[in-house]
Amino acid sequence: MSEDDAQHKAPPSPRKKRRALPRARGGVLLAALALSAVAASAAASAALSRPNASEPVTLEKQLQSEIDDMLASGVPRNSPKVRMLQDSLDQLRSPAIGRPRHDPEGDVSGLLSGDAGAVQPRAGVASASGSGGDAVGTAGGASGNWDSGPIDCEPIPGLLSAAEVAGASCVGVPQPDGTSRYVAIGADGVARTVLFGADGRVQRLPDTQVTAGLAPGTALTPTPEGDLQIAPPGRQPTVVDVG
Amino acid sequence: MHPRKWLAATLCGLLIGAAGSCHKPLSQETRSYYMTRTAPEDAAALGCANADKSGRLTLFFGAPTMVNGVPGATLWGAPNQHVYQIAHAVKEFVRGYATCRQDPNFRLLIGIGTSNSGIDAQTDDWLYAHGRVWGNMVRDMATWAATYYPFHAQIFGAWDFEPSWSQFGKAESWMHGYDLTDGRPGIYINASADGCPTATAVNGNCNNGWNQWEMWHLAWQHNSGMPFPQIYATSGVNARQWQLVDLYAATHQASFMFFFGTMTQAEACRQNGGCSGTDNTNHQAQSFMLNWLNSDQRTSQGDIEGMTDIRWFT
Repeated sequence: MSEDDAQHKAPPSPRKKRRALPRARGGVLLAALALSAVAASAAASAALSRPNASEPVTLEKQLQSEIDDMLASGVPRNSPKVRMLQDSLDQLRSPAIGRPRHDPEGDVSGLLSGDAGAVQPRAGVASASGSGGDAVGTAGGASGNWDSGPIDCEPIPGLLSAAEVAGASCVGVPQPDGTSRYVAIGADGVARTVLFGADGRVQRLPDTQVTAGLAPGTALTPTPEGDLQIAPPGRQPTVVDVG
Repeated sequence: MHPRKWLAATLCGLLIGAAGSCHKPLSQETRSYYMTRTAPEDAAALGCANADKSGRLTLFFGAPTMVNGVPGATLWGAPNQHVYQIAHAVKEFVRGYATCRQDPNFRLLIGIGTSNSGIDAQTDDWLYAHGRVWGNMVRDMATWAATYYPFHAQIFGAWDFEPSWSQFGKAESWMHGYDLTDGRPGIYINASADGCPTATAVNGNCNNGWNQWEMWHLAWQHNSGMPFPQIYATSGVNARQWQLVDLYAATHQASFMFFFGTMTQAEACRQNGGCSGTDNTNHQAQSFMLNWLNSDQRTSQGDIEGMTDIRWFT
């Protein structure tokens, strides 16, 4: 989204909209009174129908409500979108199979060992120009190589723009402390780095000039120490600190 | 819309919504993620960490790319992943959620997302093929979830298209591929309307040469599209832009749009140190959207069920 979009005007308040309608003063007062009464009634109704904190929330109700709203808005019942939602709802209410099948790989207790649900720091070292991912065609059976393989440059909203990654070479550099650095080295030899913290922090680090220019074919390889090795073809590699 | 329902919706949005977005329990304010980690243990832990949620969310992978000859997506500094690896990560996410879910009535409707970022360099054929492969992957994942976890999760596609990121024709090629895939589920349109008109609905221009017709076409006219747009600006202008796209459709295409949810980025902003004027909360975004939609009877909508806030999965 552009900055311009972020700086535009606020929506009209109900007061403004009502003011725009030509009405007699008495009529306005009467309407305001009626609106207040309806609002109070609606608020009370909303409060009464609000699920108790311990009451189950059902997604079925949400989907049914979406379907009802679409129909009320004038979407034909046979519209593909209504049918799509209805299928989704039917599936939630009565799965095609009487009982879900047992997922043979469903036991993830091993993966969740320790503090259930707590995401652990990254492990291992990424290879910017490694051997790539899994064999093609192993649908559902892919495993391993999560942290190796080519990395395409990609903007990071608010931190690294498309212009900054255009023509750059990018690499992920895991750190011994479990954090990671996403480094985009431009043709000008400037490294633009974003820190991905284990605590969820995402931060742009200061730009650094790591080389005079990035020659075509230069290999970028993270080191176990969390640094970045830059190896231009036919020249001695250098190791740089990525912050 | 029935006048009584329109009045109720308007009152809800204007009077009650500002205070508490009508009647959405906290469990329905979901989290969405930029996925920078996809290892099985990470994905399972992430699913477990969302055990308190029920509703629609998106797991965003990056831009379309090719990995060893197989379509996939980038991951913001982590190695690119092909669709099989992405599917595997989503399975672990679902398993983690199923293992930890706090309430048996909770369900997640998960969108597996990519974007139109950086796709101008690709050919239309390549993009169409990528869209089809993504659609196949999402369909297969939906079948898998319906088979093993019908009471826990459903799978959808998700797509962040932004006018500034590519030519319209390139985005259209990808969407054609997805939409024309047999059996593909719906796809959340987590898009931005950057540069689109903020006061008119006469097919005005958006950024990068796009226009309101093209926004409507991509977000709604394709059968699989489920509008769930980015409502980031604290001024409310994003909601106004989408309402005007909707109004354009109503007045020029004898159509309209239905919005399934609003996406915000408040937590992502907190993670990267703050955003200037683009960090709406879930409730602010929903109120903006409902207020604008219900500011004109031709675009009115009773409620918006979904609300999700995106953040980085680091």
